[in-house]
Amino acid sequence: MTTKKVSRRQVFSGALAAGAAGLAASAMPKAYADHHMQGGDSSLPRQVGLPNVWGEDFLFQWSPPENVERDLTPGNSVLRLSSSNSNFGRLLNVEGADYDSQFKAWKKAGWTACEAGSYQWMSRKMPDSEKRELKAALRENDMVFYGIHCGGNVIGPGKEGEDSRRHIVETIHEAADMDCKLVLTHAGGLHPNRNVAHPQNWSKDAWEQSVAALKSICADTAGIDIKIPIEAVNSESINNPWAHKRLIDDVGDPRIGVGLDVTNFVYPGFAFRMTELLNTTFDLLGDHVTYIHAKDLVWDEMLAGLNWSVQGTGLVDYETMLTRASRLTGPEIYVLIEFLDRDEKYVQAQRNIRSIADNLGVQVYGTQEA
Amino acid sequence: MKKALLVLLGFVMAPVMAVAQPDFSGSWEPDTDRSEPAPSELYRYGRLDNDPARQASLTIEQDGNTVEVYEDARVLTRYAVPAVYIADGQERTVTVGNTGVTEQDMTASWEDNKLVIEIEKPWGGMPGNVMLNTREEWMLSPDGNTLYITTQHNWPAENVAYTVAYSRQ
Repeated sequence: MTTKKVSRRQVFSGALAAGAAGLAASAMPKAYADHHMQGGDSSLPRQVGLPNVWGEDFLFQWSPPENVERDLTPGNSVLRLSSSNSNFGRLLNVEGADYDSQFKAWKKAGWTACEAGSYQWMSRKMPDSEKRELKAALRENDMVFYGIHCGGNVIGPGKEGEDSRRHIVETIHEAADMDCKLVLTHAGGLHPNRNVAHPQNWSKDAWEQSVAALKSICADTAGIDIKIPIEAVNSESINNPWAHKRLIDDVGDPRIGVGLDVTNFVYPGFAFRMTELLNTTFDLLGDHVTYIHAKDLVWDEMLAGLNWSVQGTGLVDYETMLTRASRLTGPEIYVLIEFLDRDEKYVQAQRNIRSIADNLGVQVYGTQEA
Repeated sequence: MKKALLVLLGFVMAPVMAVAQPDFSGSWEPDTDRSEPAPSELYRYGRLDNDPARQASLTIEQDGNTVEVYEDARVLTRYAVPAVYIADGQERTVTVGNTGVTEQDMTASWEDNKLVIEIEKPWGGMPGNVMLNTREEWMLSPDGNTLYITTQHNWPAENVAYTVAYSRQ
């Protein structure tokens, strides 16, 4: 049996997923368009969430339909894998670092791209000579330093928000200086710690604060060719793909994109419908997806206890995610493996992802040593 | 003539040898002292729980080649739903029991005095999972009071093997 077995059975053939990329309602199945889209040519959703499975009845419709279509045709873009493991794979701004040796080791281990965390990176001003050395080591080892992962909370109360916005602006300037392609950040929340949900995070006021904060960041970095993908998170003001789309429209700067982390906006209603969620997300957002976080999750507790799991073992449909990623324009898509607690699990997760991709014909750059 | 008798004896004995396969019927309790730590098979393999899998007590009903396994539902680590193995060497494609969403290929057969079960399935039973190959060998102790299940997991992330012992109740 191969991974094709799942599709061979055609358990998933049918109704929901749009299949072909594109946002036009006319290209979507009628049931999908009727549920989600306004009339005419508008691509604005009139209702967020996935369609009902079997009617308008009394149960939360959290079980997947029997006929979800999975188009596992690979695209031409190549995936480059990076790691969030600070012990091995995440770029650190440390005096005296031997970047050339680091990159050689990472590349041998299958990591062909890297990113830095903003607070660590910005905590030290790297001398220009060191930057030149780092860039030379990147070129020498065919390694891509694609971005800086920005913490903070752009709509945090008072000084928290102000400091975060300033930090992101400074990080965007630094990323440009390092020839990066993107700075990932968040839309934030009204609690000082954006990982703590605030009851008003989904109010009109919070939304307008997020939009205003991101407009301000864009204005302060105007002309800098750095993408600003936003990462939606359940606890923050942006927590679904429809909000992603609306945010892009409302901020109105072409640099605002999507740092797609589908596990961050899973709630119980999506947990077992990940194929649909992924297809809907890619259909809706398309090439606004700037790069991707690869995580996985299981639901193993009485309360909506969603826990992380090793990539490829949980609820995320990695076959759909990897094929859809490979069908983005690219030509290179950066995929960050993160949220694992042990070094060896990063190795295992990469093996899983490479295996799934290989079975599908999705190209993952480089090789992972045995 | 002597050779022909031996061949005839072989035919006569074949059914006897076939019924000499072990009978796993009964109730079985995990014997942790004689078991190796087993990795969590389904779920709980993530960031928050790296403990070995708990083993559940088993109730087994066997009728010839058909072996039905019921697990203590309070410890959903192994089957989650009753498993039925037909040890005739035929490959069968069945729905993955713990999710009902994807399929697995399963073959059960007798090898010497062991029941051998080979399963290939999406790891967590969900679409898009990495593939997991499992081979189990079930064997009884000479006195029939201990069941040993040796499991080999092969998947891209790692290959692991462990044996869990059960005591007959």
